[in-house]
Amino acid sequence: MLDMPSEVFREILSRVPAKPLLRFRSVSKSWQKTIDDPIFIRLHVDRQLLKIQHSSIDGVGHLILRGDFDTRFYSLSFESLHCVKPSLLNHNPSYEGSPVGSCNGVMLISESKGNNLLWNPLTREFHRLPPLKGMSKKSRGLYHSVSGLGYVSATNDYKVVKIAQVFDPRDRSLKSETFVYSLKLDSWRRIKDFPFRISRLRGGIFLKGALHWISSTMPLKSMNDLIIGLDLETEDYCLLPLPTEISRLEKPPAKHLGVLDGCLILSCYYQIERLDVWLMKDYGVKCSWIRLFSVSAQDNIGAVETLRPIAYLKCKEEVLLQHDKKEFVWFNLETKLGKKIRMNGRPTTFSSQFCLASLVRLRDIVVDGGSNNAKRLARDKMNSAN
Amino acid sequence: MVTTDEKGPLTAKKKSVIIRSCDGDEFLVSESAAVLSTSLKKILEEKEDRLIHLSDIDNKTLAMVIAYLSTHADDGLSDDLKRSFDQEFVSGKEFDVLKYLVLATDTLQVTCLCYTVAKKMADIMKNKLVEWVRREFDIQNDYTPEAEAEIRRLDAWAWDDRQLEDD
Repeated sequence: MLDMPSEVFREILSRVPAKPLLRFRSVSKSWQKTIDDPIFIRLHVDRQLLKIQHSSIDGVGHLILRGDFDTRFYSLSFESLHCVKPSLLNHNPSYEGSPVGSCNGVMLISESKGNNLLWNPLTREFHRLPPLKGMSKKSRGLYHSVSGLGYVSATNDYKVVKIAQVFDPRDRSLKSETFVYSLKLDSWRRIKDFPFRISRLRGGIFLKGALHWISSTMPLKSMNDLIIGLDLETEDYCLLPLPTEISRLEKPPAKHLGVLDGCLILSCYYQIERLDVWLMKDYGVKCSWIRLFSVSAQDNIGAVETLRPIAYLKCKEEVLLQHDKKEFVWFNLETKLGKKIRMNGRPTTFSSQFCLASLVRLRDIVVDGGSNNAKRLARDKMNSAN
Repeated sequence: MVTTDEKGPLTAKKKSVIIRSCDGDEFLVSESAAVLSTSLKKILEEKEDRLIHLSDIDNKTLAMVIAYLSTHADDGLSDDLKRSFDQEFVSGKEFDVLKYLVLATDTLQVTCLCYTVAKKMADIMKNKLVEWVRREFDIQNDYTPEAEAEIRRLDAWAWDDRQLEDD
C-alpha cells in the first residue's frame, strides 16, 4: 500500500466536489474522520470557492429553486449545460419559507412570521434561529425589512443581519433597528443602525467579508442610490462607489446587486428596453467598474426586466441568465445569442438561489454544541403542551 | 546512464546537477530547473555535491517531474504555454501513475505540480464508486456491514449510482 502523507491526501480530497465526498465517507473509518474534520471542511469550502473564480461551476454548486405556488425545493446542477432536470429535494426544512441568501453552502430561509432558519441543502442539516424580539410590524408607518447571511472567517462564524425600518410619511421620520445573529453564540443582538433608507426588499449580497445592499439616501432628500457594505467582522458600515457613467448620465430606474465570478455586479434595468450589467473588477475601486454586457429588447432573449444574471462561464464567454422566473438561458457575450436550457419537471414559476455544495456543519459552529437551541426546543415543547 | 534533459542541453554553459532515481538511473538537470523543487534547492545550498540520490522516486516518475521542472524553468516560454503544458502533462495519465507523481511532488516539494496532479486525481475520483476508491488506495473496509449500511442510508440521496464508474 502506498503510504500517503495526510497533507497530500487532503490536497487531493479537498478538490473532490462535496457530493462524492459524502459517498466517500463510507470508504473507511479514517476517510470518514478526515472528511468530517471541521478544518478539512473549511479547506474544502476555500478550494470550491477558488474553483468558481476559475469559472468552473461543474459540481461546485447548485441552484436551489423554490416554486412560487409550490411548497417544495428543487435542486439544479450544471453537469449538463443545455438540458437539465431539476431534482426534487425529498427533504424540506420549511414549507412556507423563501431563500434569502446563501454563503459557503449554507442558505438563509425566511418565513412569513419573521422566523429564520439556516439550512445546508446538501447535508440536509438545518438550524432554526431563535425568534427576534425587534420592532413590530404594527408600528405606525411603512414597515420594511431586509436580511442577509454572511461568514466571518476570522472567527469561523455565520452571521445573519436583519434591518427593520418604519418610515412615517406624515412627519418623514424614520425608525430603524439593525440586529445581528451569530450562529456561534446562537443569539441576536442589536448593532449600530443602518444609516440609510432601505427601499427595496432584497436579500444582502455577501462578498469579501461584507454584506451589501443598494439603498437610497436618507431621508428622501435626493434619490441618489448608494451601495452600502456592512463588514461582518467589525460590524462597521462603508460606502462603495457606483460606476461614474450611471451616476452622471442616465439613471436607471431599477438596480439590483449580485455576485458574478467573485465580483460585485450591478444590474441596471432601463424599463423594458435594456439591461446593463456592470462588474466591479477590483473590490471598492470606482474606476474598475466595467460594463460586462448589455441586453436590449431587440436581442430577443426575453423580457429584459425579468432577466437576472446567475453565473459567468468566462472560458466560453457565456452568462447564465434566469428569465421570467420560468427558465434559464445561456447568453453568449460575443455573439449576443441566447440558448434556452430545456428543463423537465420544473415548478411553473420559481425563484432561484445559487448555493455552493459544501459539507459545512452548522452544529460544529455553535459554540456550546447548540445547548441553547436544545433548551429552546424544550421550552417550545412545554409552551405548546400548555 | 546519463540522460540529458531536452530543454537544457550539455552545450549550454549553465550549471547542472545529476539526479539519481531509486532504481539507479541518472538524469542531468540544469540547476535552474532543479531549484524549482524546494527540497533540491536546500540540498544544493547545503553541499557542493553535484550528484543527488533520491531513494524513494523511481525512474519513470522522476523523468516526468524533471520534464515538468525543465519546462517551468524555461524563461523562453510564456505563462500561457506553461499552463497548457500543465494541462497536457496530466491528461490521459493513469491514476496509478498520478499517485506516484503526487508522492514525488511531496518529497521534492514542488507545490504547483502537487496542486495540478491533486486536481486531476480529484477529477477522476468524483465519478467513481466507493469500491473503486478502496481498490486504488488499497484500503481495507473497516466498517461492519451494518455500520456501512447506516452511513449509506444517512446520505442515501448522494448514492445515485447510475453514472458512477468502477474502472
